[in-house]
Amino acid sequence: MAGSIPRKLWEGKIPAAFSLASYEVSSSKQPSPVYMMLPRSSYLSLFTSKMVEHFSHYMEEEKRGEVWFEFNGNPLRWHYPCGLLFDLHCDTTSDLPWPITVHFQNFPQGELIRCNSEKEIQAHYMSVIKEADQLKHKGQVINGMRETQHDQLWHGVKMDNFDEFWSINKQFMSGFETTDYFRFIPLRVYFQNRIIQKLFKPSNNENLTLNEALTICLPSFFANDKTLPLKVKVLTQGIEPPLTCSLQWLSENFSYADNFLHICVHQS
Amino acid sequence: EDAKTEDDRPTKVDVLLRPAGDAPILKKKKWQVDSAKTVEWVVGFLRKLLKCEDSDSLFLYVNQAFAPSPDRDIGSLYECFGSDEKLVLHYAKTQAWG
Repeated sequence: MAGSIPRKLWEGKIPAAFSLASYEVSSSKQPSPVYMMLPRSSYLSLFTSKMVEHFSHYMEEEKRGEVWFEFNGNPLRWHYPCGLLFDLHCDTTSDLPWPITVHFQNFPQGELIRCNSEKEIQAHYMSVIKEADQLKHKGQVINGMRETQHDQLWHGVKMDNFDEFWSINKQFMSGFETTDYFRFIPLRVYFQNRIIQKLFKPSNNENLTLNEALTICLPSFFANDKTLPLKVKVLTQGIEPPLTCSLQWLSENFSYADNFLHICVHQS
Repeated sequence: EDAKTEDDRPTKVDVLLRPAGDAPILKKKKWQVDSAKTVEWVVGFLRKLLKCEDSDSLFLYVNQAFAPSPDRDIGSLYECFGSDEKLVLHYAKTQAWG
């Protein structure tokens, strides 16, 4: 059934424990953590108001600046989907529930983009999905939608409502013009501190696989012999997909709500 | 294969800056930008060229369609959305394409 894999991935949430940075606590009592199940396609900043509500009594009001999140010394980019952040930074054997530190002070200017309102998260999400549709259909699908349908996509993400989201999002899964394929596959590869994004045209090559895409992005690590190089782990949506997967199939089934495939390549 | 490998990526990208809405026109429209530079850097550069006040907004668009995120590098935008050996970016003082 179309949409059954995206639904399963959507439902696979990440348990997280949010704690206030200990040196930011000014009360005599340490606040307890906030436990949450994070939807993979959601954004950390959507939970900012929850953090303010829970933690703000434990600190002096004049020291309360913009909220930001950190794990293991890494400031977390709110403009990446939560699932991507987890795949980038965490090890499932030791980092569950995902211990996230919440900060109200010393915003890491230059490392993180500021986020002052939910409108900014929505604007960012819409920009990414517009870019994805430029790649998939020259923007024809998104431009053919009404404003209310754009809002519905975002509302589905924000409220963690798959049915609401997918009822609109399924339109992005049709082929480009009369073909069965997207014009290009929206794909970002995360390797070390780099993001690699190139054009992959599935109609040129019906069997364009994940392995071929990774070989083009990271020629020094991947070869066209379809075997995984030693000491390399490929991860998306928390899953290690076979490298022989067709990119078109992966794009239809494993993309995040922003319609991008976000693929992490880890060296062990 | 029609895709480039990571090694033959150009180190400089020709960027053509075009105004949208009532944004002022630049005397010099075409600039060579290091492909590792980010969208945020281009916005800062443009703000200086246009003598924007701190309170002025400035938006940058690709394909007259979407606003790339500030940490996006110009090289990958060129690779995905460049044509005729250049990357066209539209700038606006108010939101133009959402």
